[in-house]
Amino acid sequence: MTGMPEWQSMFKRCVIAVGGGKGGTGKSLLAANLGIALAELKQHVIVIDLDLGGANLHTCLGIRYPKITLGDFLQRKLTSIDKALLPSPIENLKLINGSNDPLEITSLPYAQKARLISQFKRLNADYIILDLGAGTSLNVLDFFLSADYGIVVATPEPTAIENVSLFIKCVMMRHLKILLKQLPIENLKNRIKDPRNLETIRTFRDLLRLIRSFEKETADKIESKLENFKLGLVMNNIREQSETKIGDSYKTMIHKCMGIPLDYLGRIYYDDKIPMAVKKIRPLLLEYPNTKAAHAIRLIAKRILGMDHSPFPLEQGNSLFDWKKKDKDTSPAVQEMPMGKPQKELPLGVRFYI
Amino acid sequence: MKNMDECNYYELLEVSEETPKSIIQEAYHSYRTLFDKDSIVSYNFISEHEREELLNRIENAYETLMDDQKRIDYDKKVFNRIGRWYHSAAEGSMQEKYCSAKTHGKGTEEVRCEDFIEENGRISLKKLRESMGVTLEKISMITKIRVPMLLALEERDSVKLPSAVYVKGYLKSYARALGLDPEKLIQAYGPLSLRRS
Ligand SMILES: Nc1ncnc2c1ncn2[C@@H]1O[C@H](COP(=O)(O)OP(=O)(O)O)[C@@H](O)[C@H]1O
Ligand SMILES: [Mg+2]
Repeated sequence: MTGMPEWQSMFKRCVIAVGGGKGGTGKSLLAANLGIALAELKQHVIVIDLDLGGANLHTCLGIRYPKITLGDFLQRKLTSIDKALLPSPIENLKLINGSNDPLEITSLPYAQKARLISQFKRLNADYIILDLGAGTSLNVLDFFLSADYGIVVATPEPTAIENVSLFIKCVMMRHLKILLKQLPIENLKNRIKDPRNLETIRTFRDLLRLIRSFEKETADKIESKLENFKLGLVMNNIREQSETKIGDSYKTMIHKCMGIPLDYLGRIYYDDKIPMAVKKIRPLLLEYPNTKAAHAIRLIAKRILGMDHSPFPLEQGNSLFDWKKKDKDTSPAVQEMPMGKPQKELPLGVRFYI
Repeated sequence: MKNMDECNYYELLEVSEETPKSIIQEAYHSYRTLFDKDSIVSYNFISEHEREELLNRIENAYETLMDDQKRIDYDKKVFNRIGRWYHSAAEGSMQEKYCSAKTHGKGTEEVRCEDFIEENGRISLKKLRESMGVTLEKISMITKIRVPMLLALEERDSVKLPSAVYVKGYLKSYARALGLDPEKLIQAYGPLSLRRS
């Protein structure tokens, strides 16, 4: 390896993001209990609450009043992120508590985000699990894309499915945009704005097709990188047998329509015990370890553990958000671009660019 | 990964050149359900226009791959040869699985759509089906179209029925399940939808 001290390279450092658009679908529940399940499997786990403004992961883990928060790190009261690590009731599992300070959460400037991402990627753990907030803000998308593996959580309701679909589309668009900064293409903006193209570019696939029409090699490179990002789906709040098929169908659709593989990681049934555990401020896996939901989450953990060998693109340094380098770079490949006012009448794909 | 509109019929249904009809049938049904207007999975994932286009293509793919002559012509056009399916089909191993409702019915004598045209000039699907001794449930099992939708189809319930493209697809499946000529049945059915054409 690259001269890394041996004790450091002992950790897998696999970052898993849990996101998916809608609030209340069970992202925090999954992030916390997946962390516990992986810790039970003798993995060193750190869960980080990145739901800026809606931090409640600590509660899911049974920690009531965390003293240190991510805010202390963001305000540079702490020199490095590992100083924000808190112990948890579970062996091998640590928490970085989210910040609920209204002043610092509303917007996270680029430099802060870069510092945060580069630091949590280097934490000493096998799995670093990010609990993300709802919505498709740039913060959420960038945290999601900074991971080695992204999990989206949906429930079998049209609203949740709709939001997860939008989330995946936004993630892919954001990903494409970042890749285009690394592999710039001349005159792209003007070509997109060309009225003949505006009509037809609706998805990241359309955009890729446009690029392919004049820069085939770059398009191929971009496509293979896009396909490299690994996504998993968890269906939560299943109540009926008939709803169990939705996950598989969704996987098929994403593959067919977007050309990206999506692992269907598992489903979690609706269970009264979950709100009961939440009310007691106790983690599900500790309070009700034998419920169906708890078993389902353990199964998901095993699937993720089993993936280790191949799918995770762990070639570090080659990762999408190589913030470490970019920090010093004068012309950062990934730079926050002001989004401008959203132009409602334009399709999503184009709105991201203009 | 190709865009869906660049896929050939095999790629579209994710089957291979060798795939027998029974599997194509299944693939077709699962994709049609996936992209159905009522599907929660594809809800707001694609636009109404894209959805119709996609369903149309799936319908065309199905029609071509389920018809021996059309499939031969298509294979020649796309691959410059006839797929291996043809040779196994010739042995009759999986022939006509999808027509099984017919054998479950009473009569073996030929049923003609024309015989069930009502005074208003349109066919009564219900009478036709009942004359063959086939239940709605049986058709639902074969076509994977839900019974209420089949009922709406038989009753021409314009409120419950989707737009013409879908109705056409349903009618085709309905006809095939009974072992009838889809085109004839569609013609005998009359206007497909009151809402849209
Ligand atoms: N499978 C489930 N069965 C019952 N209740 C659930 C289930 N999943 C989540 N919940 C409830 O939904 C609430 C919201 O979950 P949470 O994980 O906080 O969502 P998110 O982080 O996505 O906003 C939780 O308080 C929990 O009580
Ligand atoms: Mg949450």
